[in-house]
Amino acid sequence: MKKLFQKILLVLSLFLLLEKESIASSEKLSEDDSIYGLSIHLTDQDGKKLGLDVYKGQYVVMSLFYASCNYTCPILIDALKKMDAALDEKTRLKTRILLISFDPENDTPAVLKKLALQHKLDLSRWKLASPEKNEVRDIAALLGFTYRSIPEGGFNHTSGVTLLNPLGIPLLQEEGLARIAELIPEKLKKEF
Amino acid sequence: MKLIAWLAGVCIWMICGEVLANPQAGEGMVRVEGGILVPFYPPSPKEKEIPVKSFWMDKTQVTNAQFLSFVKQNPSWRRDKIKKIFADARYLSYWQTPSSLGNAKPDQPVTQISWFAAKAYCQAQDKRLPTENEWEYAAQASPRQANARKDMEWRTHVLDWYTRPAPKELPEVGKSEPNYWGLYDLHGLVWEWVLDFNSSLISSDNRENATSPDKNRFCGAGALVATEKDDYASFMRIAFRTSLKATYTTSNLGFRCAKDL
Repeated sequence: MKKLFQKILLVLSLFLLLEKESIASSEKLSEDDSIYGLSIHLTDQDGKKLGLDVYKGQYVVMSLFYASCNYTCPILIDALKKMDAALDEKTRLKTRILLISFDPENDTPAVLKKLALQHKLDLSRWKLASPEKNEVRDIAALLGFTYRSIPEGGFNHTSGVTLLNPLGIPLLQEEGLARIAELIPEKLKKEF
Repeated sequence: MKLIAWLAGVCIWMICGEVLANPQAGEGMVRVEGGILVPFYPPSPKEKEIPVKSFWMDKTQVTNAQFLSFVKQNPSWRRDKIKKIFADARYLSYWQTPSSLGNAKPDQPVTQISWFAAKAYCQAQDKRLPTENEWEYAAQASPRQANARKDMEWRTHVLDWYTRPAPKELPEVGKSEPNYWGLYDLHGLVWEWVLDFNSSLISSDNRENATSPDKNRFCGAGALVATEKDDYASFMRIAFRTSLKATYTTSNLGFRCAKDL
């Protein structure tokens, strides 16, 4: 039995050695690496229809959330506000924040708008938006999120943010929220 | 007489309409009767029994020949055209050219395929990838039983494949004994993508632990509440899926499609 288990561990460790893809390591980046190649249909807090590339041409901080989540999502918004406040004026003018919902069924424009007002988000630079229901898994897969709906309603999900350059190429993908208020301004500083 | 002909015409029209409006599963699919899945690793205390609705599932994994015809019709999924965000560099790299198989056999399962590509293929057939629950439900069937998880002999047989290294040359699809539902090769050929491969959080629940999402991601955390602790094959599938990213392509990972009834 012990031998069998060792064999299993061996096979398993081979799977886990799958190559890790590297994020935006300066060489040979093209539009081909841009996440804007994913065609999805967003509706924002004003009911406006948008593509994922709504902020193409600007630096974008992108993340996933859902409005009825009262634990991580306020933390996410607070962390992003802190991050935003830590940017210098010039950088801030060129940076946008796009939050995409896991929960298009409930996150209607009215719900998104209410959340934006509640958190006093600057809607000239922030957008909250819902994709079509069958597009959620694509954007989650692209941004490296793991999530599942839970029977009592809502979702369990990992949290993190992705920083995109003006072409939509990821410059930084951070799991967890604790360090984004330092990491993102730092990264952006190098871009200007 | 005219009336009869007219009525017959209407009947034919109605039948055709019915068939078109309610398409049966395409050829090569079988119906899996719904039931209750007792997940190996219950994702939450409320999900120890998960109802699975009846669905259609492809009898076999998608083959090289089938995927070749898909990329011919949808050139944006050729290995030389695919956007890098949808697949890593090994995507279909074992084919001789972007549009010919070379030494790869037409009836071998297609592998080195990303989740995005598998999903696009199924969509093009008016199908979808099976969910993890559907896949696990279908895969607990032995040739004679819809649920053979308590059958130690069968379990050993399944585990035996997991512990064997992959053969140099993959067998063709549909050559093994079909399971209770008429599905081939759910165990024993290559691993398969599922729609919600990125849903196993194990214990990295965002509501428990906001700062270190990877803490206790699997293994020990899973073992505490797994329903059958010696079901190594189920352990391995969970660990495997948890390690995947949507762009990964490996030589032992393929897929098949499913469809709602």
